[in-house]
Amino acid sequence: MRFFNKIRLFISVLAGKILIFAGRLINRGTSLPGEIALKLYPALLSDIRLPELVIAVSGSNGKTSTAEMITAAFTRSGKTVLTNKEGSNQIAGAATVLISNSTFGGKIKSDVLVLECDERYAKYIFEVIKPSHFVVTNLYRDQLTRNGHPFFVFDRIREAVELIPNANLVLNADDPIVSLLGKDRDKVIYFSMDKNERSSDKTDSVYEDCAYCPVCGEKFSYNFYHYAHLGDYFCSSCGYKRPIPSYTVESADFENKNICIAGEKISLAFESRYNIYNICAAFAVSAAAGLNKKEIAETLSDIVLKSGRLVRLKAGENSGLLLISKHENSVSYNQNIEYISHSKKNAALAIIVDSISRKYYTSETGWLWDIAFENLKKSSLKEILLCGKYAHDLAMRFEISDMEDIPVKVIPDLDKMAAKLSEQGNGDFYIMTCFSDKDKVFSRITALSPKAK
Amino acid sequence: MKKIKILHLFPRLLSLYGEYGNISFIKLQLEKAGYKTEIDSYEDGELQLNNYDLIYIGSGTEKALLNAAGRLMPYKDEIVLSVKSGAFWLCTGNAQAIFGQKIETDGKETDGLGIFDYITKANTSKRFSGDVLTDSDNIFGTFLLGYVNTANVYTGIKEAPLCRFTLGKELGNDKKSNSDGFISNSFYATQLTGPLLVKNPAAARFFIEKLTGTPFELHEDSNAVLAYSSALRELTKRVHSV
Repeated sequence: MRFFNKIRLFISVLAGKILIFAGRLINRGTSLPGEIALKLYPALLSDIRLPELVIAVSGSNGKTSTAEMITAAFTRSGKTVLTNKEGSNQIAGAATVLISNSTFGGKIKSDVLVLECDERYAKYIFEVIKPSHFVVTNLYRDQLTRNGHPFFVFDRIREAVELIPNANLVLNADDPIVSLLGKDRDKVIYFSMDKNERSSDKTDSVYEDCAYCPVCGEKFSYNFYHYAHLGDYFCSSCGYKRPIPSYTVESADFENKNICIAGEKISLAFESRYNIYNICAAFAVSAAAGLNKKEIAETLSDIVLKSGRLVRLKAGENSGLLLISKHENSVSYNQNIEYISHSKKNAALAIIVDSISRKYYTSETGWLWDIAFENLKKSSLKEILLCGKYAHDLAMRFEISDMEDIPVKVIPDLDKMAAKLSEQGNGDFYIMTCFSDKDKVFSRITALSPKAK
Repeated sequence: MKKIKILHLFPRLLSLYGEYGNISFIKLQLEKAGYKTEIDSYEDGELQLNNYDLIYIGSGTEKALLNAAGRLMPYKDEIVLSVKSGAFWLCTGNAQAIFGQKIETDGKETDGLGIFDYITKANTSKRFSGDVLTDSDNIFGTFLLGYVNTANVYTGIKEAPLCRFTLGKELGNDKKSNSDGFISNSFYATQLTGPLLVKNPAAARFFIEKLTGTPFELHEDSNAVLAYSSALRELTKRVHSV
């Protein structure tokens, strides 16, 4: 590095550190210090000396959870891990995180960098930061107002992958869209889940993004589905099929809450298949990067995440559970619907859709029609309350899905909803909503310690 | 009472944005009004267009759209005949591309069915999306609202537009003007995506009356009307603040 650039690097790191410090004092967001440091020295990120192990994690769902599990596995092995926090997964956010851990000479002090990357922005991050491992969890319909459709996001993530020809890709073999990233490429580690008691010959979804082969466009087949378009697939026309995985969830016992990966038993704090995929992704990359399998399994056993999506609630005498989904993301809702369906609890369920966008009202409600609310029929729910500004839109979605003997009530007003859930003798309840609406729950109903059940 | 038969073209291949909701909603309303219904799906094999009261096609990915166009091509003559003879077609989202002269996707040309004169260009790395609201000077006699989410830019549409956007003015057919979709005889095309008939009681009424030939009205306390009123109020505020 030329002397002049060393000075610029020093100044930008210094400025970034001062801003991070000032930001902590006034409790501001995470991107600004990185943004300003990058303005002072645009080559900042390429000049920062990264550790040998840089693990990037992307995909529609499960990024934060998977990154947290990978961090736990490496921390347990005695390594120091630097990671970006939720919400700082774009380039300026990543820069802030790196500056915070860098020496003034531009060297990252930690042994491992775990970087959660937005699916669309990974290609900008990889222009300057070359990960040693890139984990892609899945590609679903997610925020279609900005993402168009999963294949639009696939194209962006493929552009990112093309920038890192030497990286090890860690891909979900059961996702035919994600697996395409590994086609005709060396150094690919696939992870998957074998058929288990929850697998099915039909998808649980109301739509199929891979009804047709993503390679040749002919009809696509599945030996079995896990959920959405994930499963054991093949195309009779072009031969595209689920790749052979290196790490597999060989067995899953949902009743006793444990799974087995590469012969190692892992017990589950939360027995959802979505959580199991995250565990398997974290296991695969940690093992591929050289950690001891037994130790990884011990770390991931019963792991309770800070980013957990379950919060225990209390309304009057009644106990509840908040199941956090993501608006505009039908798979995240289906995940919670699956949880409710298997819990067999005779409880009330309130579904809240109050603001889809935090900035303004949007009339894009197509994603409500992508959620498999019909699967609630299998539950033991005693009633369903539809709440928030979009309660009537939800109600129309329910009008076409016969809930059989479960009564469905429309209560747009959230105060009235809270009053109803607090009524004496009303019993247990669930609330299903998005991050963006969860504070509206906490302002009306007491949250007990956020803890995965 | 008469049985209403609807053909949904490619519900699995072109399945984006919950547009199946349009057909589910019409079916429910017709059945509530005492009509019998039959909803058929077409994905492959022999395409039979006769004897349907409505033929519907909705949004897909850019690749799926080309796939659908290719699958319909062997039946081009039958489709031309159906459209020209005044059969009732509804086409939403990006599906109208299939019925034009050609579709140019990332510079590569694919033939459309050539029923109408326009051409479609799509750059798969660029999306046009946003909330839209129309004026009330249209066949529905009121404001339509909804969402546009497409890569398609249409040029050379000679037919009259279905509606005009007052919010999302840059999201019209050519992505410059505010004209959306078109009407030709009984062929109705719009770029609105998602369950637009669910969201727009006036549009649902228009099409249901066309299917049944008798007056139809959704109750003013129905979820559809309440959701529409709430959305209209919110989006109207946005028109004035733009």
